Amino acid sequence: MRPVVALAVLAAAGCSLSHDTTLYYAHFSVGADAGLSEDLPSGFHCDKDNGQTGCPLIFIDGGQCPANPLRDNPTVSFNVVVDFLTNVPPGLPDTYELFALYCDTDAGLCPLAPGTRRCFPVTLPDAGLLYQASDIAPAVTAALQAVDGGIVSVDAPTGNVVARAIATQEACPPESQTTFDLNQLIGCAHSAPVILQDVDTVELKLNTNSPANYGECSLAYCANASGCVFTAPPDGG
Amino acid sequence: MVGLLIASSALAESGKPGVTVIVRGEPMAAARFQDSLRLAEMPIEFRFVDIPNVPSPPPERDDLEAAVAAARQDYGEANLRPCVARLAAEDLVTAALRNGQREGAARVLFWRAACRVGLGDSSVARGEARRLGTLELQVPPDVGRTTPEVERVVTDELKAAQRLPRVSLRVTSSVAGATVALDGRPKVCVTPCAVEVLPGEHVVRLEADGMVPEVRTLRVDPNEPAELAAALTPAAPELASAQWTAKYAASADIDSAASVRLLARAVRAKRLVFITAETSNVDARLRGVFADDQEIRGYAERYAVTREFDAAVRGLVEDLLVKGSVLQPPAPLYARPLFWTVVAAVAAAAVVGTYFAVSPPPVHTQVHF
Repeated sequence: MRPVVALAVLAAAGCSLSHDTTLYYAHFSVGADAGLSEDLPSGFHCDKDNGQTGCPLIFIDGGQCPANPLRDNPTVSFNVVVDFLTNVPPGLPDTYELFALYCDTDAGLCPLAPGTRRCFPVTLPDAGLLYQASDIAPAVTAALQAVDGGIVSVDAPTGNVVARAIATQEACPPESQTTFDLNQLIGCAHSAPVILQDVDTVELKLNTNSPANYGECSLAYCANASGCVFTAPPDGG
Repeated sequence: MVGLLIASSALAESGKPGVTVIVRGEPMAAARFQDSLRLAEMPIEFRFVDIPNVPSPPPERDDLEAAVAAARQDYGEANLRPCVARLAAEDLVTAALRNGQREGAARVLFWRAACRVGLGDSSVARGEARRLGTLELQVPPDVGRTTPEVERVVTDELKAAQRLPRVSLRVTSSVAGATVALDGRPKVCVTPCAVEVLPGEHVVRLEADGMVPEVRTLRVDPNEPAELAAALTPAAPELASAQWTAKYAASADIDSAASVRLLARAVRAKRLVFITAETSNVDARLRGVFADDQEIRGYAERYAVTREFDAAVRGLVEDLLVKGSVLQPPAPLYARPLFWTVVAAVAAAAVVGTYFAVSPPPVHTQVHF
């Protein structure tokens, strides 16, 4: 039986694989026409389904977008709370552009993967200078990576999950707290349903589902009180 | 590789089973066979023995012929009493019949009758002539050298003997299959058997391979079936060698079961391997038979080119000894530990492979900004 044991040991030793997945903020995809480089991290922003780049969800710059009250603060501190939502509804398209996720917590959808919430305390000096989304993303990314190497999880949950990052000025909430104070939210983004073991990169952003409806780019719509991305089917859904 | 089957009762001094080997063939071939077998280093104590060549003793004819010749001369010279005296010994006839000399026996009886007729002893003469008839012997050509009276006496008694009803003589022996010679006629039947004989005295000789020939003289009464039961005794190796030489050495049946059984007795071999080697410059054909306790256990044959002679010798002898249960056969594939080790390893590999094919190994994913 010794060969069998040896094979089992070898198999056991060789069967555990490691994988690395990077979360990053959505890239601009509008190309040179928008005056921005392709694949430039854009940070928390809201894409509109008409193809236009939406408003940044942190430190928005007025104009068509709502003004952010933190806009003129020289230094901003907040927490980025990262969760993995599991048991996402079946039948979802796996392309982000068509992604329209809603969760029904009463039906047991979208519970947080237990033990995976990770909080990143972030301080951005000179935040008042960060007007453009292209400025915000690198600053936030650097701040996140400064916290324990930016590691969210060393053994991410398997299966289809949605990765969600919420920027809040609340103290880092425990997992049992699934509601967020809307007055203290300053940003929100999430991924499409994804199997983290199968991909190397995951985009976090926020899409609209109704044309020209900035309301769906609202933080409340992203980080609702139930802890899910959406709490009700979108209009017409 | 073959293993040993321990049979302590047949172990040689070395502790190995002893086997006698006889090789028949050209002397060079026999010598090479022995060398090859020694090189094989098998777990057997081989004893190499030459093939027996013991001629049988010649039949005792001189005394009989001399006595008959002298008696005939006495009769011609009318010395009838010396004539009777020369042939008076009773075992002259028995010995002649025992040795298959029916003509000699006939001449003894005829001249006894002739001399008795010459002496006027008619009743004794008729008795001798009657015995000539009951033994169904041919009247010898010498009858032309006697008187018409002698010829008449002999002819009458022969006819009288032929008129007697035949009687069944049943012959059995302690060893079945013994050949029966009756009154000098060879192989009239094989025991157990019955022959029809004329009433009177008869000489029965029984012969069997490896047994001492048994000769019996018995009187068969008219109208009364007779029976002869002979207990044969085993022959000494010297006699067995002579029997084998006479019967099988030049026979096509040399490697028959009967031949090998007798050969084993002749060379005092409990276990005997008898090889016939036919060799040429380029190849060799080897035939072998193995006997244990004079029972044939198996035959085997090999054909080999010259350079493979050693392997052929080893293979042939191993084959024979396995058939004789002296060696254990090579373990079948499924009985070897290595086989099951390989099977287990392959099965384990298949299970592991299937497991990972069906359910991929767990992936520990690190997620970071």
